Amino acid sequence: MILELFIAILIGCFFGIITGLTPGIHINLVALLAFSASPFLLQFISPLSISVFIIAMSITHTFLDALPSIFLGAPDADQALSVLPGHRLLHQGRGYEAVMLTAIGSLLATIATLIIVPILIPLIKIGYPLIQKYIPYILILASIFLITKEKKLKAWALFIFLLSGVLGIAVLNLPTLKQPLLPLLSGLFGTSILFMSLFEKTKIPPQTITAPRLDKKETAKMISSGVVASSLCGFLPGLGSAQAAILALTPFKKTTPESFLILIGAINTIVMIISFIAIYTIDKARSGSVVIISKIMGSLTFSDFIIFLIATLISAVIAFYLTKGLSLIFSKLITKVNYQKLALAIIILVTSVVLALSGPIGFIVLFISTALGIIPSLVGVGKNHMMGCLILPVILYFLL
Amino acid sequence: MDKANLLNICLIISIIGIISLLLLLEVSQPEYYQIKDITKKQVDTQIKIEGKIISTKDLPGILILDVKDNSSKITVIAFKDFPIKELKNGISIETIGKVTEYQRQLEIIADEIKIKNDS
Repeated sequence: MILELFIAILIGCFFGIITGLTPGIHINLVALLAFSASPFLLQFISPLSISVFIIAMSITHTFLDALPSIFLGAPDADQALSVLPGHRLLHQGRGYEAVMLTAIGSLLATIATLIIVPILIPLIKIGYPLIQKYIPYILILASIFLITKEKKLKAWALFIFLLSGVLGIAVLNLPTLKQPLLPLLSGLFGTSILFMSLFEKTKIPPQTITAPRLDKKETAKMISSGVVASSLCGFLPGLGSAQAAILALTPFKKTTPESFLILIGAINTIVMIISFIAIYTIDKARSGSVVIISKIMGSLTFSDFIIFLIATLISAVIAFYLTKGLSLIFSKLITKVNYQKLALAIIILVTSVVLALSGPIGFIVLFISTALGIIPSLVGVGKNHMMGCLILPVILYFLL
Repeated sequence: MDKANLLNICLIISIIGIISLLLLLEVSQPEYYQIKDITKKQVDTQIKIEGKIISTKDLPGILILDVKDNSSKITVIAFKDFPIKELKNGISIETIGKVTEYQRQLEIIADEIKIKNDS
């Protein structure tokens, strides 16, 4: 059994490399494919191994998605905020350092979160029923807070939030659309960014390999702020890494690109770990891959949960070294690869996957959400407002 | 193409696209199925069934109904504010909901439950 679980971790890490490095191919898609194949797979392996595979993939993904975000300027939804500071370092020839800062953030955050799990479990168990009634109001307040945090373009932020929200309501309620989140999120956060990178045709300077410079006090501040903000956002429906990052930055007047990247890396991983804790403590799936775990496992026992946490730690250590090795390769290759061709190939791949899994209506949704996803980049407003596509339907679900 | 033009095009596609999806949502009705015809192909799609409640299980926050038509039976999960008190054994209902798979069994997560007059 232990060998089977370890192999599941290794295969999960391998798939995490694919999803992490390929913008537009989300862990939810691979988790869904694993679920579709589960009637066959379960003849040979246990449901626990499939779940551990999904956990290892998810954790590895949160380490490696910094690579396309920083080197290619093509982040997924969780890494949307890391593009600017990451790109700034990339244009100084410090892309490797930028990626390693997020990886260090992710690894330290994993260790910190696992240490405080005994505190988080009762906190979430007691706290969630108390705030459950107020979730729509908390989400409304959180949305207003995030929109007003935009320095100049509050009207655009509100417009994008509402437009994404209406799109989400339409897409999530279409009776004949299968896997509605796939075209919706791929368009808003994947293909739209790839399209913009085709449009902008940026040139990357040669990269030098420099070790990240860490200020211990600053790092500790970022990790603790990340843990608090992610714990608040991670178990509420609709809120994710981007929202947690804005919340975590609120107490600080000024942050350097280095500490910002540590924070982004940390939050991305903590939110994923919190979603594992939420499924065990309050039986609520807060991410697509965790929905699949809950479907495969049914109810979770305490020993399943402990195995999940051990798998999380092992995957995080493997993912850290994978990130280190792959960012070295990326640093050498980035000036040689034709990024435009690569982006176009990924757009074609994502479109084919959407057509296969969601059909022609899914393709139309992908087209509309890609157009909408391009707007924030053009007007210079945060992409996190597009999470309105999930937040607004959740608010209406609770209120109506 | 400059950025201003691209922005206008994206705005037009987004707004017209979203309005079209809302219109499609308004006209598209979930397909009616006999329970025996529901397979894994329908997972994640919204369908309509009619049948009689043969058992109910009241849990905190949800009501689990077993619904039977003249072909087979299926579990229907009612999460929200349905007329729970009226949903008793022997009552005929019409349900619209999404087909899901839970522990390898197909079930319907109800979005709408109407009590039929013939019950």
